[in-house]
Amino acid sequence: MRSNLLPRRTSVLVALLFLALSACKLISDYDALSYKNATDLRVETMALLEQGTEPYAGHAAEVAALRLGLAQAYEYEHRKGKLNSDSAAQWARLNDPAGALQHTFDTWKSAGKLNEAFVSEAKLKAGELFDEIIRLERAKAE
Amino acid sequence: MPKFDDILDEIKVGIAELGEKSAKDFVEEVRKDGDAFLREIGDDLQRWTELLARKKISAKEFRVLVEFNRDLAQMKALSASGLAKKKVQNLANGIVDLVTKTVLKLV
Repeated sequence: MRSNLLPRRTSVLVALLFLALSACKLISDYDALSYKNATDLRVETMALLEQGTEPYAGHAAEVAALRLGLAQAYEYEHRKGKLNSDSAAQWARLNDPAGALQHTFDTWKSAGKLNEAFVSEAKLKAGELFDEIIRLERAKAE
Repeated sequence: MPKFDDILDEIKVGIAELGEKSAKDFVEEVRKDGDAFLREIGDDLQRWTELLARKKISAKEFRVLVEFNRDLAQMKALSASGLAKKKVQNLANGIVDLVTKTVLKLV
C-alpha cells in the first residue's frame, strides 16, 4: 500500500517544491547596471568632494549633475519593485535632503568652502555609504 | 523501492545540516560586523571632537560627520536585511536541490 502511494506522494512533493521555489524569491537578482551605477557615482562623488575646499560657485553645476545622477539611480532601483526594497532604500538615504551627503553639499554652498579636514573625513564616510550599496548588489550574485 | 518515511528522514538530516551551517556563518558574520562598527563609532567621534576643538572643522561640519555615521548605520542595516534575505533564498533553493536529488536517488 505504501509503495503504491509513493509515486503519487512524490509527484505532490515535486509540485510543492516548484511552488516553494517560486515563493522563495525574496530579493532581486544581481543587476550589472545597478553595480555600474553605484561604482560610477562613487567615483564621481569622491572626485567632487575632493574639490570641496574650492569655492562652491565654481562647482555648482557639477553638484547639480551629481544630484541628478543620484536621483536617477534611486528611480531605477525603486522601479524594480518590492524585491529590491533594501537597495532602493539605500539610494533613498543618499538622496534624502536630511541625509549627510546632501547636507555636505548644502554646507559647501552655504559656507562657500569646506574645511580640508572635513573633506578628508567626509570622503571616507561617503565612500563607505556607497560601499554598502555595492556590497549588497554584489551579494545578490552569490 | 525505499519507504517514503526513509526519504523524509534523509531529507530532514540534510536540511538540518544545511540550516546549521548557514545560521552559524551568518551569526558569526553579524557579530564581526557589529564589533567593528562599534569600534568605528568611538574612533570617529574622538577624532572629530579633536578636529572641532582645534577649529579644523566647523560645528556644522561636525554635525554632518555625525550624520554620516547615522546614515552608515542605516545603510548597514539595509545591507544586513538584504544579505539575510539572500541567505534564506539560497537556503530554500538548497533545500529544493537536496530534496530533488534525494528523491531521484532513492526512488
